[in-house]
Amino acid sequence: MAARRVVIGVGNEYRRDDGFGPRVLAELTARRDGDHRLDGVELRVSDGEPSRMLQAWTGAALAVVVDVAAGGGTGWCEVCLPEDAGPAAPATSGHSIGLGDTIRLARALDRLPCRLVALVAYGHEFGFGTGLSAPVAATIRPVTERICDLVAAP
Amino acid sequence: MTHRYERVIDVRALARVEGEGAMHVRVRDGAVDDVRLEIYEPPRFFEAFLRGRQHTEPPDITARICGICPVAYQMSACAAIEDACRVTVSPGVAALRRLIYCGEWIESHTLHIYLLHAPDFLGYGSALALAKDRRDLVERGLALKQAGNDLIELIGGRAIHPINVRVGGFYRVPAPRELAPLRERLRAALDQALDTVRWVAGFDFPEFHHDHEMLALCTPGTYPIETGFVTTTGGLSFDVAQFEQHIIEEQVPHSTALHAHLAGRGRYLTGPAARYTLNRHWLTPLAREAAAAAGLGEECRNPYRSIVVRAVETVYAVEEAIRLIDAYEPPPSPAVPVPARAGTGRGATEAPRGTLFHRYDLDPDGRITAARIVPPTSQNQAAIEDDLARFVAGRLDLDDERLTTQCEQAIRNYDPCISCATHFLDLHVERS
Repeated sequence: MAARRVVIGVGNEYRRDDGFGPRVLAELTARRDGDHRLDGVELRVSDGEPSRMLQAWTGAALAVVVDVAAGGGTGWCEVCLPEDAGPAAPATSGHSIGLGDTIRLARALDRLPCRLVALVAYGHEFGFGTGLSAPVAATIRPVTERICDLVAAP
Repeated sequence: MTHRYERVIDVRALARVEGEGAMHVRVRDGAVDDVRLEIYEPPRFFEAFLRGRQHTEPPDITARICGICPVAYQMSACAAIEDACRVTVSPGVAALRRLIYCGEWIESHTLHIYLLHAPDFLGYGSALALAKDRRDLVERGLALKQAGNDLIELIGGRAIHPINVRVGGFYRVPAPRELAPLRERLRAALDQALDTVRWVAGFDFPEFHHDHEMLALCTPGTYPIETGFVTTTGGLSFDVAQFEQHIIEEQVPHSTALHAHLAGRGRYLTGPAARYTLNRHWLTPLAREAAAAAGLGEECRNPYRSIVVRAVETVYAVEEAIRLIDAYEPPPSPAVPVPARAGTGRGATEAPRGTLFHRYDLDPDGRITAARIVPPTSQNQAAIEDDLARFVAGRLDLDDERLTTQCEQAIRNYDPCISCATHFLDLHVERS
């Protein structure tokens, strides 16, 4: 039985660049039939809610999280987690529990995947509405290619 | 003991509540002078941008108000639109709606109990800290919550903002064989839910009681979820059609939520404790037994014990989901037609946090000309502030840090969903 691989696109498609994760997942879904590297790979969209993230990646050999970050920069980056989970978020709203805290919770519960990689685009527009800003839209193709390589690697 | 003339407790961002809000308490001359639960999350204009949309759209649009309880918004929207269009859904569709709503109760209540509220009683700052010490407890909570997630996902098409709900019913209904595996999961969830009641019943609850009138839907013969008459502990009972005659909303300067009160009577409280107090005799025998063993009496007026009521309601929702699955027969059609017509429709259902009311005015083409949404948290806001004032008055000997912490805990008793409560604030300009 092949090791379980999952790609999780995090975000809200109605908040401009925050829709990057779901948009990449849509691209992967469209490619699936013509790209054997995606055979057997689970593709999931998530709002980032911690328990759903844990469920999505528990037991996976590889989990790739596709997300967007605010705060400057252009293009995208690849982050190996959980070593680089980032600082803890302030413990305020249940809506604001971030990926770093989710990883810490997963570690406490021994529910991290064997390998966790985040591909993060640098976002610019987070207002209401659909459609990615041009710089973020330009990262869809390279990020999608990178995901295909990651899930195909032995 | 403090001898200061004035103390101000100012929490600019409440922790472990849904959404973003603040709390301000001012004590002057040893007496509580002002308490404000401030909802500062920006207004989201849902009622405004529903105008001009087609009558088929509110279930999908209003589901976006909340990621925790989208089903509640969909069900109240469907009820209101179907009321306006004079349509009644088939019993099979009604049962399936109740089933998906059970999933939301399980998910939402468990999230609040395990991830937001229980750490208060156990002396932890967060669920993460609790997980480090008591991994078994958090795992149990996540497993129970997952059963609710799965139920919503199966019937609703996805776990957040379900896409399978429409006015008149569903786009697609599941086959009984699709529900069968879920039934097995729910059997395990029932044990986890009962364990949850026993666990939270052992917490240390401060002595604190309120005398607010409590309001919930009541449906003779069953515990209220997706339908009912609006009923209060003060003896009021009226049809949802009269909701706006009895529930008056008003603006307050410090909040983007409207404050609600009962006409001629004042503040009131809706939510699990109100549902339990008004409907406990319609719980299943097992849930009633669990409630009694947990020390819940005929009514629940101690807000700290709301966590026990949520746990009991979770037991009920799991049992009810199993019953509905066992009785399930796919309806002849996934939905009944809902032709457009001019009219006004009102719908109310029991969201996890309390009664959620929708009203829509439709033109002859089914376009929405006006919409009104009254979520539970804004209904509760005045009662929460009153409780906080009395709570602080009884704890003025505490230092600021401890008083602040305890006030935050007190607010979490009500599981406020601040994002839901944010509301458009009308701007009135007087010109001479």
